[in-house]
Amino acid sequence: MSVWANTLNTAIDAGAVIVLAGSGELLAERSGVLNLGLEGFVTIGAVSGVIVATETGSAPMGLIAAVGVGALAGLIFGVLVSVVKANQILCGLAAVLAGIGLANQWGTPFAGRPLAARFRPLEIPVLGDIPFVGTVLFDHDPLVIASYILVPTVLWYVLHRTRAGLAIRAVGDDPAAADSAGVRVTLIRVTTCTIAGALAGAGGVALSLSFTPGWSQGVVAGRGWVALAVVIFAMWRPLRLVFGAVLFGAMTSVSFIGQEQNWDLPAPVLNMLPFVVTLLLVAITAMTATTTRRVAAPAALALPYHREDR
Amino acid sequence: MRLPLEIARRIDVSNRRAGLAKGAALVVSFVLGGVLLQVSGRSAVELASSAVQNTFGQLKGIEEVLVVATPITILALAVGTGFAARLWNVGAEGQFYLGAWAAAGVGIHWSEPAWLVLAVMVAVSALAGGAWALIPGILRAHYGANEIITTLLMNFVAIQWVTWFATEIWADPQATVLSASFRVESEVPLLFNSPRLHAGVFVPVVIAAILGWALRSTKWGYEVRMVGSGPAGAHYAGIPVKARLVSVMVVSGAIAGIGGMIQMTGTSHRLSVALSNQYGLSGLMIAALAGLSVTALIAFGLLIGILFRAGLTLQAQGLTTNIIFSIYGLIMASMAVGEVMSRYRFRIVSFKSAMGDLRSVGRDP
Repeated sequence: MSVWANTLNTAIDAGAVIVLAGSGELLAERSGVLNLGLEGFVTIGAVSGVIVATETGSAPMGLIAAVGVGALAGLIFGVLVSVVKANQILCGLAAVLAGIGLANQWGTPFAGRPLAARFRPLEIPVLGDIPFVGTVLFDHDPLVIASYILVPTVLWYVLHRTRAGLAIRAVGDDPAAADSAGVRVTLIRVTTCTIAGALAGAGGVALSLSFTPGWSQGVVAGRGWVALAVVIFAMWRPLRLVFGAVLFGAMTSVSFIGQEQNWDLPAPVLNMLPFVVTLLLVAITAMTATTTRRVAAPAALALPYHREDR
Repeated sequence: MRLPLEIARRIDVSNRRAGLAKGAALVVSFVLGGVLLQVSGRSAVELASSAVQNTFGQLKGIEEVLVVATPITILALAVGTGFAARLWNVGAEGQFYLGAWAAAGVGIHWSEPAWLVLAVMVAVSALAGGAWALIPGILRAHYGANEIITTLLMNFVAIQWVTWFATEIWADPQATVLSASFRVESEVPLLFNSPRLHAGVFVPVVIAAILGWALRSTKWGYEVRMVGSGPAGAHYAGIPVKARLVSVMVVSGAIAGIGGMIQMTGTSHRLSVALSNQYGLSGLMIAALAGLSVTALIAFGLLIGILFRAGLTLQAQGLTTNIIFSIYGLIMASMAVGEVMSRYRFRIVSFKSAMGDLRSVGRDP
């Protein structure tokens, strides 16, 4: 396999967590909830996946557990921000702190241990044998393939082609108007937060049972924050999100290859590359945003909805 | 049928009530944390008493509280500065590291006379921290980029930057501490013959005094608070909103940078990535609890310092700083809920009047 094919293959693997966590975030933000707790949700998912996969010896069971734990955490977050209507920034940061703290505490006995089970690349006949393209696009495990093909397309379809999606976007742009039209604002927000938590949990597994794989403190290493940034870069559109995720993945991949091939660059400089590029993406998106494109952000993002204020 | 509970919105929430809600949030989260520990099979009471014993039972414990409270209170002041203009500087950690890095750059190469070196180190650390915060400041003020996300991403860059210098460029092969830079000879003097407590402990007090004065009694401070209470209104009043936002960010970063310098010259004397134990998060926590009062910032800084130190002494019992961060999470969440609750009045009404309510259904008032 050529170096380039490998680099691109790793880029796609590395971006899977961003696609998963970012898709959930995008959905929640479209309904008007800014979930800053993503880093915490991803970390909790990663550790749950490792614990259950180690205990049961099955990677899919790990995924199911992580999705369940993530959904529960997302549900709690959703209830806090849309039923209680607590400050979304405080709750998000609380989720980061509590998520990382709990995950590290639970994960201590599993840190650095070899995994009993993990997701492994599928062997796809014919397609996988195409030189270069086969390596880049088809040499992936089922979780990565599902996160690229299934998640963003379903998300796009639901948001832009269904009644539910219209309701979600309405709640995110003008909850008062949506409420008048009989849309259940609180129910929708709690639901999107729960789904976002579940997807972030799956994103954690994409790290701990697929990309890294394994558990150690700091395994998530800011990827939850990157996912938040990529949602902005994507201007709240699912398909652009995939592009941003692959871009981040490519930078991660380049920094790996650089260390492997002993490029004349120090490891820390290579390690900061993905973050510098993500930062640049956010900066460029913000700087080039015209009035029409700024409208892309949900109008009621991060604002609690009080019916009595209507 | 209604619950025998009447919930009504308050028109105005007094500062005292808001403070009470925060106090209640602290108590609730400690109790919840204790319950969680108990459920996970540990005696919360035993742990708490051993933590108190280790913290207040000896002089060393109190000294250590002050040593750890110093950087986190400085970082809390940095985050609190941002709050004055409703900016969330979650990147204080990165600015802290950059400040320490700049100070080390001076201190490694120059050591006499110590007082002058220290003064220059304070200046360069403030410059470095401020410059690091300038980028997210401009992005936020002029282009509307969310500062929470940009400052956080910049933390990761800053930490790699410091790793590079500490482990390669300035790496001391003779250092007993792994992956640390050469020793910085100029030190903040120690106090009372203590092996650890250094004069840097006064720095948060000095910064708080200056900051309190600047925010309360200068034109800059007034304008910043105006921007914080409503950018649109401030704009119509002729205040240069963007410039004030950027300046607040830079001041916030400069304070954090000085924190890094104090931490390095006061405790480790070498640049390393172990300089901060996620102190930025503690600072954020304190600032969120304290709001805009610098006195409250210092008081909560001490309180969280005690909590942090207590958490560290529990490491022997198999608990780690992770427990502290989980409790921070609980505090933040309870605070957010408390904030909402303080905006409402809850009154228990008798069952009878609740029934009376029911009887009146369908009748004209």
